[in-house]
Amino acid sequence: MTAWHDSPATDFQDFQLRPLLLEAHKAGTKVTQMTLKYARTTSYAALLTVLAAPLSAEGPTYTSFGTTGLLEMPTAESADSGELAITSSYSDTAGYRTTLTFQLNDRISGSFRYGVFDIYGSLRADGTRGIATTYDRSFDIQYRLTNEGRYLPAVAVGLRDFLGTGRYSSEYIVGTKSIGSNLKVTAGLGWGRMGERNGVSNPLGGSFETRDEPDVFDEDAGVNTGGQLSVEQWFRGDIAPFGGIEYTATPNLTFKAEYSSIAYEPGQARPAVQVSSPLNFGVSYRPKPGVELGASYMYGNELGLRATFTINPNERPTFSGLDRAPAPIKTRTEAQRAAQSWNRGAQPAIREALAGLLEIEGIDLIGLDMTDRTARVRFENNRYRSETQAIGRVARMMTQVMPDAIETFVLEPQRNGLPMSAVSLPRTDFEDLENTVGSTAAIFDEIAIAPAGPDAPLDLAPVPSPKFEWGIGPYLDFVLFTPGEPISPDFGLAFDAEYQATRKLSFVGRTSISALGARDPLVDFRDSNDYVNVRTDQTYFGLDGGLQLDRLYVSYADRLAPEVYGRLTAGYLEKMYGGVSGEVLYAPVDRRWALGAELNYSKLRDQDMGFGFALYETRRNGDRVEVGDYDVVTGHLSGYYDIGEGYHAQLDVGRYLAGDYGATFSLDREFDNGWRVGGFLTLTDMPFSQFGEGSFDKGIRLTIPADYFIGSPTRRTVSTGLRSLTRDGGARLRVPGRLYNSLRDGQFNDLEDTSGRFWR
Amino acid sequence: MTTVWQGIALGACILGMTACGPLNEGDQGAGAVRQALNYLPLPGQEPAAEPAPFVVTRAMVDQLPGDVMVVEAYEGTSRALMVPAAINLNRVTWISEDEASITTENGIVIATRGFPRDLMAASVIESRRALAAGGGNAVRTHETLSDLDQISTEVLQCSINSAGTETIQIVELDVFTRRFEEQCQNENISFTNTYWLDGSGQIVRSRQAISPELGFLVLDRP
Repeated sequence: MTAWHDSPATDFQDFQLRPLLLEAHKAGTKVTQMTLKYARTTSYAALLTVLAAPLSAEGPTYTSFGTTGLLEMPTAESADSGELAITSSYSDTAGYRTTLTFQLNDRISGSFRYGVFDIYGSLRADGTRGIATTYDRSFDIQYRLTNEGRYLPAVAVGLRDFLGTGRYSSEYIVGTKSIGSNLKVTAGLGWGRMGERNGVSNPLGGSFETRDEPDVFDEDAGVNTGGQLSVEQWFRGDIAPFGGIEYTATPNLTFKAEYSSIAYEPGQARPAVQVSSPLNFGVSYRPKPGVELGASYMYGNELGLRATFTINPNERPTFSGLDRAPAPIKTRTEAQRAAQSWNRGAQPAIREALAGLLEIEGIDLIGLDMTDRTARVRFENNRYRSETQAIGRVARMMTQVMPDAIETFVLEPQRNGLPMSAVSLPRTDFEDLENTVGSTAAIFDEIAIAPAGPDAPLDLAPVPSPKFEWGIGPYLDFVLFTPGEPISPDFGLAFDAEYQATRKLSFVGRTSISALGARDPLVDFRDSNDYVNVRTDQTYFGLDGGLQLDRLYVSYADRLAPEVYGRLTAGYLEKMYGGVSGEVLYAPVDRRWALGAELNYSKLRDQDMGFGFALYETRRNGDRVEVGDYDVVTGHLSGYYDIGEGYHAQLDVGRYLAGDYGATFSLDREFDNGWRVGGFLTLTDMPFSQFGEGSFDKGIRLTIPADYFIGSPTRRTVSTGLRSLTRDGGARLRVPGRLYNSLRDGQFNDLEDTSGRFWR
Repeated sequence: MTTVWQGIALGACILGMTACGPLNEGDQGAGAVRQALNYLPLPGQEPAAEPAPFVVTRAMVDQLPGDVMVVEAYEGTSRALMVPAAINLNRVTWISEDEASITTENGIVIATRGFPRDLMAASVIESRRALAAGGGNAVRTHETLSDLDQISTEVLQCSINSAGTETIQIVELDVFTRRFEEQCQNENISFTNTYWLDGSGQIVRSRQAISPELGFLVLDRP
């Protein structure tokens, strides 16, 4: 269970007394357990509240576009490296925008935005234009070229809406300079939408004078193919100046005024924002760190509201965490260290004692193999996010029970039944380095990593306990960004069950029932391309209101060779597909990379989410008619590479669900404390016109370790992915339990990522 | 969790408002619901006040078989008794019942575990020598565990000076002591540690800086 600090404490004397009891048992004496009367210290949760005294808010404020800047216009400021900001803003004619901005490093920030607002239609005969609501996704990127100097401003260059349908498409170069400690002045030049007000001809001349914006609505195909990089229009066309000031009245309160160069000129598919003044005014209030509230008077005619929430993975609210203290190392004297052998008859007792000690740490002892001078321990850590910390804790416990002659500890962390690597630790160095300055670097110099050893002669404990686990709980699901609906929630009750026959073979099932009951499809959306609706049909799934089978599969994983792993999963794998999935992964323990291959046969499930398989089509009148089956063989070759400096890349090449061939490229910014923020894009041989709006599959993903917030150690994480639009091109089967992300924990460079936790 | 809350949680589980069962333990959704419930005051029930730090008596100290250390953290809002759990050369690791530990070297803290910003290791030998010599300069190194799970190192320049004599009370007994102050600083942090030494030169009370987030620990050796 998760170790909450208000749960009944595991008695700290346990690890001291158990070996004592063991030795006493061997000597035939009885040890009475001493009782100590202490009062518990104040709960740590309460202490943290005391400690988390409000710091004054700092760093740049945000715009209604969710990027750092003034009100609509950017500044050259960068947020603190790593900062994630979610901004929601609203004004009457500009509509709603929700933006996620990530400061990738000191200089580069990227944003993903979802907007619901009105756009103009085509020109009518009477010269007016109709107005329609649109759901729009857009991406921004900003790069800060220079830092602010004593006399020179910080300068940044940026692209707004460079990968969407281009409703806000602009490029800019902007400078920001602080004057004194309370005033910041910004001036810049904009192109595109930002080059409209009082724009002048592009001084670069030649081909830069005209901005040839492609009509993203492909009349022939009848679809909108926005979403491509429009490199040929960047920094082209008219250019216009903008600027503004920001005055910091108190650390929590700032006032902003700007001259916006966005004129919101009417035109087909342009945002229908009513503007009567280029001047915008606003106030920004930060009641506490991480929260910014903004109000503004926009366009000379309307009130704007904004809320921004920021969080920085680099700043953990629980500091170094609230793990309980580890057992101190039990040291040996010089004479004891000289021992060359031990009484082999004691091994079963040692094993039993070690299993008990590891249980205190939430770690299962899987196997033990002992020679005269070496003890090899295989274990599965169920508590610590950091496998390095688990290794440190296991080694500490080993000092409590291992005979003096044992000089080398070989620790083999295992995950999901698969041994990941073998870390050799010299016991004498481990003892000598405890609590000394430089011990972290020193111990990493001393340890050696190798592939996990053979199963034999480990005295394996293959059967987990308990074998059967269940759960009943509420679920909340969102189908996001379908073409016609930004968000459609679903909630109800889910039943989970898992039976682990062995550590390598498990049966997993989940059924659920929606509280919404039977319901109609949310959108009457018909994808008119030539491909099967392999993902766009997802909105028709699970609408019957009955019990639905979310998944039911059997999974088997095993080690095929020292650093080669295999997985076979079969059954109802996900909401939309059932089938068989096989995977092989080669992950050398001392390398920064791994290679994998996956082959799947899958069949489209019936939309009632029962046991059947069927393909449906939507008739003109909206009826769904069963037209047969759809099955497909998909597969990928995958390369994984830990670039270093917190970046991780993945490339998957292969065949996707609609039968299209292509590749997915992913890049993640990984923080050593477990946060991951990344993006991916997939290009396949499905033409953009067939893919439909968005042109190709792309999105962002986020993984947050739960211990970041709760402080106590846990392996749980929260992961979420956002696709700009879920379509049928570049769609992959969602196979549970893919190997790499769990097995990479045993690779040496991953162990080094959390090196600071070895001694904790 | 009180029985009332357990009842509510069970009811909520049956109604599907929260999660239950082994697979859902530690579930974020359920955890969030539980956290939210904890913040909701029950009608007619005052929120429980934080218990006052407990008082250590001489009788409690005498009842324990070996050495004892009384530790006070967070400006006296938290207090615990600690006993030695392991000795590694001249480094003694003290543990409390609620599973925090402090490691001292001749009375000076060189490590903590189980606190929100742990001191992972420290080199304090020069400080100890200066104390024994009645004053002097020392270089200290502090290693803490960062938000990113890395070791963060601060090297500090310290000066140790006598601050006269003082009779202090340690768990009901008066002790005549010599008091020393150790002022340490580098470009990032600065602090002043205080030590009270008895006639034999042993540190019987000290107030020592651990990390900016944890602040000072006050250690008494009754």
